[in-house]
Amino acid sequence: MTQTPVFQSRTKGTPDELDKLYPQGSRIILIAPPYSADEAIVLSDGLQAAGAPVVSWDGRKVYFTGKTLNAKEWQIYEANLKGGRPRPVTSMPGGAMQPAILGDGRLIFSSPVPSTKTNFQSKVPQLFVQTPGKKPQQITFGSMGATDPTVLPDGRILFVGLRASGEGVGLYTVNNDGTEITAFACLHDQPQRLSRPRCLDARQVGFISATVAGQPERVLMSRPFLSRAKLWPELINIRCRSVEPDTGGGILASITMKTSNPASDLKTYAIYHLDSQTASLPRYLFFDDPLWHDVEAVQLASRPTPKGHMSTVTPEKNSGLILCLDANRTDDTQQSTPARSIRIQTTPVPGKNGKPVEIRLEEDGSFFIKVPANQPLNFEALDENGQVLRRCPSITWVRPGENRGCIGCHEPHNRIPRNHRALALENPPVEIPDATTPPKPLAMDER
Amino acid sequence: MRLKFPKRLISIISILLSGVLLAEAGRRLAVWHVNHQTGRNDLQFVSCHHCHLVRKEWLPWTRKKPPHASPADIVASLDSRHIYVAMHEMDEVWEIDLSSRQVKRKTSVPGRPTALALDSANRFLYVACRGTDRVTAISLDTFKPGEWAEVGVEPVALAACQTPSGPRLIVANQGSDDISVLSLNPLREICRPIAGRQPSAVVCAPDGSQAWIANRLAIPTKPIGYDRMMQVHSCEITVLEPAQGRILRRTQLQSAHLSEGAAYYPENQWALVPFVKVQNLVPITQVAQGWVMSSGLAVETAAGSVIQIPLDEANNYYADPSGIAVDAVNHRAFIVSGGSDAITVVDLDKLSKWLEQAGEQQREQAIEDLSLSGEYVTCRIPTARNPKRLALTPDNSLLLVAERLNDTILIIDTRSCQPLGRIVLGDGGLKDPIRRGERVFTDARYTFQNQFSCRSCHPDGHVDGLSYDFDSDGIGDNLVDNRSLLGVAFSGPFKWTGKNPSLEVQCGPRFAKVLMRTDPIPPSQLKDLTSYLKSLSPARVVAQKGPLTPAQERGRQIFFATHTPDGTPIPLYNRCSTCHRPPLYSNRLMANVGSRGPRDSTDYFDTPHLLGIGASAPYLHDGRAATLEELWTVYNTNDVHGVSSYMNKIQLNDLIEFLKTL
Repeated sequence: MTQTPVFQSRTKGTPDELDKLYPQGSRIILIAPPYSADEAIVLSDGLQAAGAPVVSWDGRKVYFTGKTLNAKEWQIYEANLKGGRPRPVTSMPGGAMQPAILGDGRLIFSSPVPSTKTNFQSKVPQLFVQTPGKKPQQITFGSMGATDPTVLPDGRILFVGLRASGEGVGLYTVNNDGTEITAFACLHDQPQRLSRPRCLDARQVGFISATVAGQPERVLMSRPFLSRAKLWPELINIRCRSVEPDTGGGILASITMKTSNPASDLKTYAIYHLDSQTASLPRYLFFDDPLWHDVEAVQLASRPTPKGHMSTVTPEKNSGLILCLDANRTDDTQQSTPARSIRIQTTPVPGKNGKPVEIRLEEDGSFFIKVPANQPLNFEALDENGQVLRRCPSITWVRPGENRGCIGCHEPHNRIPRNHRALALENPPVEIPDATTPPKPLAMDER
Repeated sequence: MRLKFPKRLISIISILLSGVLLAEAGRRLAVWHVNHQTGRNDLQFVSCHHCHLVRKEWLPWTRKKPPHASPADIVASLDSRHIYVAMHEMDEVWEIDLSSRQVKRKTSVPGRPTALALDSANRFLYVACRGTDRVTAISLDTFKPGEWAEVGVEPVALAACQTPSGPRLIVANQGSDDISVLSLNPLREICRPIAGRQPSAVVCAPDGSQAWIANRLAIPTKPIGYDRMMQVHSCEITVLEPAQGRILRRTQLQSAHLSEGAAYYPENQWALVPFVKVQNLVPITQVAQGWVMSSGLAVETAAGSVIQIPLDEANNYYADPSGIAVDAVNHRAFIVSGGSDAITVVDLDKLSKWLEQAGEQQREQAIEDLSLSGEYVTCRIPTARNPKRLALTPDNSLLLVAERLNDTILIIDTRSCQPLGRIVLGDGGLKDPIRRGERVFTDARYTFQNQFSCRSCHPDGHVDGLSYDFDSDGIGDNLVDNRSLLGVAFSGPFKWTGKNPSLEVQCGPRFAKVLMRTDPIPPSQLKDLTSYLKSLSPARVVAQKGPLTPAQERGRQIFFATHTPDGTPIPLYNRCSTCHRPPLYSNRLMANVGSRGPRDSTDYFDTPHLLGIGASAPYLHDGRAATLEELWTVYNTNDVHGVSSYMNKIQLNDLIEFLKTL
């Protein structure tokens, strides 16, 4: 687990988002039964600060985010479980944070680390996948930030999408090769500060409704857009830093509570073990070291390995295909006139947009396009007069060689496609130009 | 200075040169032989085993498979103390005591007993024998088979009811696409009306006024034309009046198929039929969000309208729904999912409530909403491998589930929905690679979010009658007809493009990338899967009788003809028997039969084997020919796909009758 100091010292230099979460002195410890604070082994020995530990699926490796005394940047470290210094496994410019692990052992993390004066205009944090010993590969390319990754049992990566302000735009999933970016939950809810999503069991995903500490909430896997609720409604006056599943079907939660008896108020965060479905009172106090805030407790044990995914990325290609079955299939209940065309624009670099291309929709509302790979795409649905009916911000992309299907435009969530052959397939895809490629010089006869 | 080469080196070089020359001569001879035998000059070297070295007796599916104690169907006795189990691989029916969970009696019923029904007087147990096309009556006193009646081809389901005209037995004949209506006492067939395609389940209303027959496969909605396979399909619920066998109506389930169960809910007078909703016209660019298929439940109301509701969830699917049982007292339906090893429990009161408050558009679009099932699904009960049929005891206290590939029967307490234990029939057959392979074949966990299994597109290893658009060969291009896996042993290469040389390649990592969208099947399980596929024998469409009928014999002569009736020679390359050479009725070479469509990127397609071809509609690489007849009447008007222009209607019918015997 992570232990953060109760009394925080001032961070040297300009603090970033992780400095707020893990101030100087924060450390990763390993405790074994009977879980005594005196017998804790420090896994982040030699680091100025550390946090966000994750355990590999076979229970044999631990990774976390850490910062050395002299370094300005956070990186991912692998712990030495026998004690001793951890070793760095990333060297990302701008830092790396929030590791997660795929079923095949590859590491996922977010980079760079945002500063507290969040300025996503310059560098939006994205997700990277790294095979041990190899160069990391970027897998997300949207204009929103991608942080807090975790791996679902079906192999997808679940992460928090962030606006430049630091507010979450919701929970998203993506495959381990960056294909099939999809909205998962909480897109249009308030409050929108989400962090640390975790698959607690087969039924539910838990998360914290704040960037640092807040309420533990959950959505059900069976209907994620309709089931957001407090994880333990019976627990009031609590603040929670983290929820993690344990192998026995319960939850390890980092909680501080206020009760009617001031003598029993917890001044620091402690780890509680709770039932995954109900908790009128904390089941039992698992661990509390009153000298520290005890947060982010993760069980060091093997767990069922998530499924894999055979990559459909073709690195030699520089584009992908998108087929939209019906742009007028929308969750916009206010729409009174149908869309007649779609305007598409790539935004490869903030502030430098590609040339917008307007495409007439087929009679059945379908369109079929070929777009540059790894670039955020802006979509606008236009009516007969060219007025914008709705916009989709540039949170979508395709990977090289990816073929992607959409049900609609701002499509209703969790709907299956209607079985029909789209009229747009009768013609080749309309090509959207790559804004990063300089235009070809005109041939002599074209001048 | 004169160089001296050692004699040994000279002889080695001579031998090598001779070998190369011999090999080249042999290659040229082989090419000449192939061109001479096929009449084609576009073929290069072809391996001998394409036409030779394959004997029918060598094919794995001709060998007897080890039988397993696999339960095909269950019924409970009227006093809820016994159950009767159809042991289809062992040609037996067993009686089991529910309290002791011990087998009390066994009786031999040859011909693959597949379905059971009890009469209302609890005196006879009726058994549908899929292998012998019969229904046999077993006396419950003696537990011995007695009278029997011939029905249509491959009876797979039956139900008994009492009508004003007397007791009736309604039998679904999957092989001949019809329904046998039998009277009891004596047991005899009264009539045989036509059903939809592959009738698979039967349920009767308690008063005997109606019977619903669920048909498994879709039927083409547009009979003729290149774009036929681009139309939305539908499958049929046939409703008939049991007393006279009169068809009352044919309800269409739009864009649905694989209906393999039926139940009746008296409170609302609903007929409930599970089905699979497949999006075959949508390019398979992904699997998430129910993109390929999802499971649902069709509710046919007393007024005859049909509402389709989802059984799946937003992030998990319950593939291959089949058996269904209704607890009328507690207003619940239990639906098994053979691919996901689970039972879905639906609260029929909650469903009814939702339907009442839903507007027309909501009802129409209900099946599209993967988050809807939370309104009426109360729980999911895990089972062992491949639950297929289930039965409720008449007192509604116990639910019995036939775990077909586990050789067990699961007993569930319906009040708590908790398992009480299992009746063990056999050892599960895990030492048999064919059994292990069938478990892989029917298991949805090899696909993303358990959305479908191999069986979902190849029910019982056969076709689903649909064409698909795989994105790997271009979105919107190269649509392909689903091919049967029955009789597939030794018939490689695979895929219509002939790209995959073996079943291992066909079902391996490439398949995981293109369709399953998850990890490839592990090597040992892939080996078992191919063992299972090779063991599948061809489909049967005609009753198993003796020699060929006169029409079939005439058709055989047309098939092997070297001249037309007026003496004109048929070119070697254009004779049926050249490309469709026995015993597989395929030379397994690529051929151009003039079937390239506007969205195809090649003229050449793999020559399919013709075993079981009568049951494999539609035809041609993209499924555009709805029937065998259309192959020649609509799509071969220029004699490119064999010489057929001389044939009159009778000759064409004769040829088709022969093809149906393969």
